[in-house]
Amino acid sequence: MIWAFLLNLFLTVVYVMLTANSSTPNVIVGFAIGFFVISVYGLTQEGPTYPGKVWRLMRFGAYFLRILVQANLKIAWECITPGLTQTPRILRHDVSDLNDTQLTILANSITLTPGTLVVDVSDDHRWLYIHCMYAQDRSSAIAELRDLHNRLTQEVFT
Amino acid sequence: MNGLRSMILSLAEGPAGHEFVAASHAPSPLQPVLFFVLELGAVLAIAGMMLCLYRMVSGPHLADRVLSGDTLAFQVVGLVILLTVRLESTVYLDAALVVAIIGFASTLAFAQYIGNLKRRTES
Amino acid sequence: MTWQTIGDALSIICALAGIFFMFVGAIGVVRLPDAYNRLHATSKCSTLGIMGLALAAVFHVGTLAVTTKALMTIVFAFVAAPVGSHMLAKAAHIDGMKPWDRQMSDELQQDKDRQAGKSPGNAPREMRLGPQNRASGGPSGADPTPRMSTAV
Repeated sequence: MIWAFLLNLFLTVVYVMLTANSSTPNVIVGFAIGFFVISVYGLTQEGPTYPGKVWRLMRFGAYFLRILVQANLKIAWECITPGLTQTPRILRHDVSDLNDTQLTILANSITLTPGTLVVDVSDDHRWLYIHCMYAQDRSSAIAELRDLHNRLTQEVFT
Repeated sequence: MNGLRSMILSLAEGPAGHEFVAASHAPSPLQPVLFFVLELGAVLAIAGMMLCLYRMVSGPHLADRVLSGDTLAFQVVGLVILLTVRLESTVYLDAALVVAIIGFASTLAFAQYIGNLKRRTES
Repeated sequence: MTWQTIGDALSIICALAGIFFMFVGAIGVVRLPDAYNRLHATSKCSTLGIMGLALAAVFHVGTLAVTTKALMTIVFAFVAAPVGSHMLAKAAHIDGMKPWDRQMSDELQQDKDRQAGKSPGNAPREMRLGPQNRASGGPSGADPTPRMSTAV
């Protein structure tokens, strides 16, 4: 999925260099041509089509930006109001179904989502140890992590 | 605020002057508001650097000091980007990227050092 | 109402958001209780603050060179801040940093102790909370116990 999108960006760069015109409309035209070419090529392959994949990727990006802003507002509220209300824990989360690249992407996005921070990975890449800021109830904190994990698996890694 | 503005500009321009500044378009009516916001941002970024320095002096653990240095690097990056917007110049963003990369590399180096510290004292 | 005015309005909004979040990150570094909580503040707030300021530069200047460099800075901040905070948290845990006394449980320490063959220490609060709050779903007898590293 990611590779097809990167190929699209590469085709855009090639188009811009070949036409020697780096204005914004030309970049958009190059991106559109690359998008069309990869879509037509994708019709010969099995599985989901390329526009659908890009749409799901953009939907995940919107979701990710929303929870990033939400995380920042949580931290801001914690810092500005007097008193500390966190109940931190270090939790363990099962990631045995991901390979190394996916594990890296998941760890980076976990660090940027509300109240969670990756502390360690076990050596066999099976468990992720996560410092959770608001984890009074362990199962609900794990459920939030599982939601992000499922969204990443279904919308980006397909 | 006017004295501060002239001070920031005189510090930032240096001998090169307006060589790289690309001010070809007419200024919009919102430009004074934007410049006020940028000066406020410079003041707040410097206040944030002071807070990071406090944590760097008083951190109970070595990791606290290193993370305050990391935050300090990001505040410097923010200050340089504010300067880019204020002067409408392209060259300062390179400095922002370089400061970000050096801060990241120093954080990684200090993290390696902290992680090896316990083993080194045991042996 | 020209394009320049619209760009300046967007630039003001982005710059205000970026300034606010960067300052909140600096406050959080001072106020929050231990290094893990401070790493929350520095990783999240620095990322969004840099993103807001770089978008302000894009909207105000708007040439292709500034746009490219600003996007590179944003991408680098998104990659570098989580990785740096992850490395620092791992190093602090290896060095045995004393956590905040209101921290409820530390399953990483439990796994490290199980690996080393010691009795689970350093988790007094877990004992007081009783078995219903105990960690579940972890490596039990059937699962292979995770091997913990001792180096970064």
